[in-house]
Amino acid sequence: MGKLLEVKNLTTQFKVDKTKIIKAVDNSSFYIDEGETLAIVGESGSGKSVTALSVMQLVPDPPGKIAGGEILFQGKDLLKYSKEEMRAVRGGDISMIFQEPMTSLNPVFTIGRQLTESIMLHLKLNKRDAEDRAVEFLRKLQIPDPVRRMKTYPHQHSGGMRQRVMICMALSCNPKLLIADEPTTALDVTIQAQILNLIVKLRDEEKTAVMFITHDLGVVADVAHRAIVMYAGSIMEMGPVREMFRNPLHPYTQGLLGAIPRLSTPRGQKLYTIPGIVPDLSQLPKGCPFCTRCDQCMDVCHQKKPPLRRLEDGREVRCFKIERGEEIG
Amino acid sequence: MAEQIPLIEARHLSKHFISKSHRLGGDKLIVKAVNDVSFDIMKNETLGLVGESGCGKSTTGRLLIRLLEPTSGSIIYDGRDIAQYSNREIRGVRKELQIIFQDPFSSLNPRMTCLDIITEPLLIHTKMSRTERTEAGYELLNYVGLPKQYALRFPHEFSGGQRQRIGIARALALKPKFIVCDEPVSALDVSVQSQVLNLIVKLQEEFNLTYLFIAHGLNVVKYISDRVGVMYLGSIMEMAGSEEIYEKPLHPYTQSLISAIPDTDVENKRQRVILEGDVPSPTNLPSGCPFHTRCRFCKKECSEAKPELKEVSPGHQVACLLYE
Ligand SMILES: Nc1ncnc2c1ncn2[C@@H]1O[C@H](COP(=O)(O)OP(=O)(O)OP(=O)(O)O)[C@@H](O)[C@H]1O
Ligand SMILES: Nc1ncnc2c1ncn2[C@@H]1O[C@H](COP(=O)(O)OP(=O)(O)OP(=O)(O)O)[C@@H](O)[C@H]1O
Ligand SMILES: [Mg+2]
Ligand SMILES: [Mg+2]
Repeated sequence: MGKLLEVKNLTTQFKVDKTKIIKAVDNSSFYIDEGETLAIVGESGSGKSVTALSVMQLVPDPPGKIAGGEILFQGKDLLKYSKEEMRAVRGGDISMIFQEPMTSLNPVFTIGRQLTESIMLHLKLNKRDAEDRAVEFLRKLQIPDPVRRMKTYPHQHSGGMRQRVMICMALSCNPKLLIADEPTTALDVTIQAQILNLIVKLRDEEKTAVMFITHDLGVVADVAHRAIVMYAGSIMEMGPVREMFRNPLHPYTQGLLGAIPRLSTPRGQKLYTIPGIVPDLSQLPKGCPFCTRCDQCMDVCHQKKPPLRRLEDGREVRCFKIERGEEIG
Repeated sequence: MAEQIPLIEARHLSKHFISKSHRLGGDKLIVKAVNDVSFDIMKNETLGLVGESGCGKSTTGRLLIRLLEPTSGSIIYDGRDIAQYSNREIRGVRKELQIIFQDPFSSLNPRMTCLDIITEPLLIHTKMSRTERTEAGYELLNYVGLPKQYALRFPHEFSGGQRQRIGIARALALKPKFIVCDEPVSALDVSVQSQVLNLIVKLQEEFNLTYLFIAHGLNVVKYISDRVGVMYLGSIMEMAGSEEIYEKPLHPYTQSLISAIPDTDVENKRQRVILEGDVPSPTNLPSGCPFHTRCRFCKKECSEAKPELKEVSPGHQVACLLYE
């Protein structure tokens, strides 16, 4: 399978006051294959949403700016697209689901109108066919009584139902890439399980590639083929989920996995803790961004930022502890 | 280890809120947040409470320490029924019954220093002098692992995890016997959650505390609790030892809830039981078993009478007709 999206050396920065610029995404490179699900995980503020917004070119400017890099979608650099061209891509070939569905549903229009208009625009269907497709997708998302639902407004629905409508909106235009930014974080576990199940089922049926953003490593284990672990704007580790969870290479990944009790963790067994807190992006240490909290830190880690290395088995890691493989940035 | 003497016995506890309908001139609605729940919390035990948003976990916690007045039922604390205590009488037991809130950002007064926040309960409830309070405050800081030099800082100068430590220190100030931990780590970053969880466990051992531990994160609840109660729409559906309930969940709701937990254990992927539909509104409870509208084993009788929570094996209680 070919690469659908290839992001090369993406840097996105924000001007936080007159003199300070922070790099919310710092020289990131990654790809997503056709039909593949790539998870982006990391703690609050690590740059997950900004990565997604950069791909969509929805970074608020000012204060934000894509300062460098390439975003190749099917081989073409989206950063070179005009505003018009980009508008056609959004909601068409690439669509996005946000954490809070109310921010992206318009409260004054019926769900049916919003779905139908978006389908008409992107799939160039007439109103009738667009309506049929909308109903078909509502049904696929197990929304009861879809014909009647078309006439309702977003506020008449529960959070889980609104999120399903959002997914319907995102998938009914037949995107090649779905970007889902914490689509289930605000929902209860059983509703989360429903929604994840639907995303996985539809993604498999439609062969849609997914960029799945979450801070929940358990969710990653459920939905993703590969994952990227971000910390303070940098990719620290990337690899197939099974291998990464079985044998995390970066001390930060190890720490994150050790800090969450698993169902199999015995009661009272002391949990691993990562000391300290996530640093402010305007006060990052000079070397490795994680060095101030790392229990395997060496002298060199304080002096320069470790390069990302590509290992033999498709994994990548940014840590001086790992010396094998090839330096890639 | 928990002793087998109850510290708190809740009996037929209910809380109904009256809330106005959104529509202008609309009728008053009754939100049946907690409906006839009965359970014990043993001395030195951690009882976990899980369930989905709005199922009545926080309300139950607040009732137990009498931050809320129950609509009906009794709360036997240390031999006394505190359910109908007047405000004055509650002040007498307040020292012993404390709470840690979910949101470390809004639960601390932004204009008070860390030391003042921690020692305020001492000012209200004891006759300690200022020097004594300050001394006690520094000791509390030490217990929760905050450096001394933080004492005079204000809440906005602290991270989420540090603020949660301040909340814990404050709850400990009066040497309580029982603490309701209402989602104490939900708002924290993963790397900071385990710091706070370890602290909560350590303090229990040091001070012989009894906890009601409320959380969404079911892994966390299993890890920290001796026993776990599962709530749905204001009722307790099942209660059992924490290993037992995760290994042998009996109630169909518990089964799907547990199967839905996202777990990082890639070797042991569990089979999902996906629930259909949404939780009904607590203003309009279904008849009979509150779960029957979504239950895959629902029978006709399930909509007729509400099953009682009954012991089906030692220490394992379930409210479901399948086990009658
Ligand atoms: N509009 C903005 N103005 C200034 N800084 C911003 C803006 N948007 C994001 N940032 C900064 O960029 C960094 C990365 O933010 P981002 O939203 O990508 O984090 P995230 O990983 O999605 O976190 P979360 O899990 O909390 O959603 C943060 O430090 C944030 O403060
Ligand atoms: N003061 C109040 N007035 C009216 N209704 C209330 C009040 N407090 C709680 N409720 C309602 O009671 C029900 C139970 O709420 P509660 O806060 O106990 O749920 P919870 O299980 O703690 O949920 P969460 O997981 O979201 O914290 C909800 O429907 C809630 O809207
Ligand atoms: Mg985000
Ligand atoms: Mg609550």
